[in-house]
Amino acid sequence: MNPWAWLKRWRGARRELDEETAFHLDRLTEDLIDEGWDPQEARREAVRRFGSPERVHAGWRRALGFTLLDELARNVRFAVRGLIRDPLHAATFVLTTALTVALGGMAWAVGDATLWRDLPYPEPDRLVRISMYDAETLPRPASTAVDGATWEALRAGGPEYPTAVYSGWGSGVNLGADGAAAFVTQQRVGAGYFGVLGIDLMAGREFTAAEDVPGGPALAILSHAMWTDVFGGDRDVLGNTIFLKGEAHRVVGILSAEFRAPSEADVYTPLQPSTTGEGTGTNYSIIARLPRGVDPADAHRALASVPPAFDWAERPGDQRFGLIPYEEVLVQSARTPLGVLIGGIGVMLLIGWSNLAGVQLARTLARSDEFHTRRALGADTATLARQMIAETTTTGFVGGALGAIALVAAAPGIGSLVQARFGTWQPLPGPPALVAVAALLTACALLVAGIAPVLRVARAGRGRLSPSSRVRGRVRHMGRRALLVGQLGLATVLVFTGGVLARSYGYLDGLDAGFDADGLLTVQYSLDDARFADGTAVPELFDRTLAALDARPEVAAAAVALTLPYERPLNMPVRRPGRTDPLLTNVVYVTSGFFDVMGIDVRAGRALDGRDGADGAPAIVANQAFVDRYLADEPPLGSVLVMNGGLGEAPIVGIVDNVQQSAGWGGESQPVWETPTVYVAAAQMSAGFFSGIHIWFAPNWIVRPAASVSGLAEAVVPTMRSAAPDLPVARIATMNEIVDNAFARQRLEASFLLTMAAVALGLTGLGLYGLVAQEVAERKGELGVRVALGASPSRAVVHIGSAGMTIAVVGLGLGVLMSVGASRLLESLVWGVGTLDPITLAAVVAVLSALAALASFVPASRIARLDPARVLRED
Amino acid sequence: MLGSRELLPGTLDMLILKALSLGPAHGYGVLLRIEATSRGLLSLEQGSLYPALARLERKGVVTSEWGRSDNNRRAKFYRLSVAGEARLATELERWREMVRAVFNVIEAEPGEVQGGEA
Repeated sequence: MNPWAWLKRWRGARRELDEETAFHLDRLTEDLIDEGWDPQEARREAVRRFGSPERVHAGWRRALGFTLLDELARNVRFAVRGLIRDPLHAATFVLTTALTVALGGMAWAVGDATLWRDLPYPEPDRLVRISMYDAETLPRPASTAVDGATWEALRAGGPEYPTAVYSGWGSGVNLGADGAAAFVTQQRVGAGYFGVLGIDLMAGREFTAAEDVPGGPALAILSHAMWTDVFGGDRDVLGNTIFLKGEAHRVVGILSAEFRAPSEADVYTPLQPSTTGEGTGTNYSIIARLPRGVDPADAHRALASVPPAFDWAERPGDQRFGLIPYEEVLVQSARTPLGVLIGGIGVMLLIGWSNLAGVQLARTLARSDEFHTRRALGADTATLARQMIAETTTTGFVGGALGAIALVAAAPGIGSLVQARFGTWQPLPGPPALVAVAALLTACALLVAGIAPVLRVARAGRGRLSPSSRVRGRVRHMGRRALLVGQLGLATVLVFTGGVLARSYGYLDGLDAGFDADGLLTVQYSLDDARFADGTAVPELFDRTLAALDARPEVAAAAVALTLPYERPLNMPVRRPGRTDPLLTNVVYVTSGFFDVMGIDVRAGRALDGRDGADGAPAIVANQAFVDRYLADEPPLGSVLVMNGGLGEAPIVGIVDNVQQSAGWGGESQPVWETPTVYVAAAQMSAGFFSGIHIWFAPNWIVRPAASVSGLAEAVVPTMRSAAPDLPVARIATMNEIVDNAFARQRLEASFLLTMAAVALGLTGLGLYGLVAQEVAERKGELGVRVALGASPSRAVVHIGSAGMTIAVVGLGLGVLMSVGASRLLESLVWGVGTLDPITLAAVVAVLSALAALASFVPASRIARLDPARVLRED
Repeated sequence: MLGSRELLPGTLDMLILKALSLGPAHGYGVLLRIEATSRGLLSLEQGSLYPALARLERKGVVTSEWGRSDNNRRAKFYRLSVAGEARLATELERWREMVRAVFNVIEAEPGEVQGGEA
């Protein structure tokens, strides 16, 4: 039936019943007066004889079939009125529900996109990663890359099923098409890569094995986005030529829009794996698709018998091939930090739910008089229970809707944040899924919050709850006390975890940078380009552009460096003359003036300068960390090092201060550290060195502004453009942004958990406050009597307040125990502080004790202001 | 005096139908009729009349319309429908049979019993 028509009919019928009732009562009263009753008494007697209006209404509604729907409408109206009457309770309930729904939905969405959703490929459980590992020291393979020889060894003696290689890095390259220059991301993949993933191209084909060999043809497969954005979705681009890095590439395929990969690339080119050059390093990642019916464990064992490449066989240990699920590889790095964040939300959810339960319980208790009245008027348990459910549902629905709206609105931002900070790549679920999860979480919240009031009402029906039950107050609040202890424990864990992460972030942020980042602007250009393959092209470009920059009044000084501090540098081995042991070090080529521009102090000797040109004697500047690690026993200045890349033998001419770098070698997992580094002059390096490393690294132009200049970028970019046309900007950033970016993930982790902790503390504090306040209100009479009989008001305050403190102490103790357990999860996430940092622990105890004291003694102190005479009069 | 709680289930409907068979009446009038014709032995919980009237009306054995009472106030008058007359007849017949049966049982003399173990 149309609900409006139904409502109208119901209202009409209801009005008629009311009119009939009024008529009946009036006539009965008149008749009673005629019989000689006193008019007032007559009216009372008429009402008595008429009986319970509640029962009459209930019977009437049953008779008309209006019962449940009508009652629902009435209950909802009742609930809305209740909300308006008690806005504080309503706001707490609605906001807490919204919070649990939004946060819980967020945790689910992030977890779904990053941790437990299947890979977006057919039969993802058949996809594996193959790598080499030392079976003597490792229980199973890690997700490491292999070198060219190893890839050939696998193909020679390896499995029948499809395998493919790709290079782990997507790199920025310059794209030329129709005269326009763009900076795009290129990834190199081997023949059969898309086939192994189970992906069909939208058009064209993937690279063949014949093409995927060193010296093979230059080909390209376009991403769907690039095909539509750059080529306007024109299928004729197939077979045409585009210019990547200044070289002609023939387009052979276009990917479908649905294709997703861990490193999102705009264009794919053949890997053409070799055993020389980059193939001597572990730069290739192997994936494979196991056939149906092949057990991964069997395939893993079979791989062990494939002979490794010669140089691996020479290494110590039991070097062999092995496999791990591809799915595991892709979520590995994000698992722990995201797990901690999602766990934090989970804890928050528990606190929120227990708070909801506590709030509803308190409200039900405060309303016990109302329920007794309703009961006396003839309402039965089921009716009251339905009313409680309707009230909870109405409030919860408002909160759930708010939470769902917040969740859907925030999802895109959260998605890109998680992607940027944790390197995840699958998109967050869409709005329908988010709303469904929000509905589910709302239902959970309602269930948790609704049970207590319903049980209360049912118990009241059995007459166990008399209006004078305040004598049993202590026992009656047991449920809420237990909830609060749990909440305090969980809040402690959140505060502690957030605190440790914040301390770790503080340590990283407080590291001595080793240079002066303020004011520096950096512009990055990719030189992975055929135009810069020629021997002198790169130094010439540096000279030309730096001269143009120096001519600008806004620019105080400028220099070029291969990599910047706080970023990932190139590492390669150098040797001492006459010795074979390699010294692994970062290598950074720079132009003269680099140390001045950066503000890096020269500790001994000299910086690289104009003397170190192509014709000058080879020279190396080492940092203090290099000296400390490798040259501790000899005078470092004048020590000779041998390195590849065209430099040959060169003496160390200067020692400079360390800067922080994000290097992943040397056994350091810390995001940045003072890594051994040598600096060489760009002008002294060979063309082969440039073209090799420029595949992986794009050099940075660093500009120090003249005093108090704003809009430096507006001056630098056009200058660069006129000095080096057709070179698109890969990135423009201030040095401070780059420093910030180095710990953005740690900052996100810490600030997120601290925010959760603050909300948790707020909720818990409110819960504690509510409990003590209610205790005060209920025991006002008793306390008034005590004070009137001479008890000290301050002792009464302490008595009531310490009830709250007892809960706090128990909860805090529980929380500290749980924190000790949780601290193990933090091991891979914190630096510079222990996972059981005593300072954080002390601060957590102090903050929570202060909060508990505030929440307990503020309401308890009301007792001191009680006027015994008034309290007794009221009682 | 008997209260409505002691009425056998279904009896109230029959009493209302019987009262209305004497002519249309408003709810209060129905009550007065039942009390008067029972010679004061039946006193109903008066409010329960209205759910019963609504139920009967919904079943189509009673119809209603708004009219004027003897003191010129608006009141809802109920009237027995044709279906109601038939229903009343069957209800009365069933009631009489039951009364007879119950009466026979409670008035039984020891010698009358034939079956059973005796």
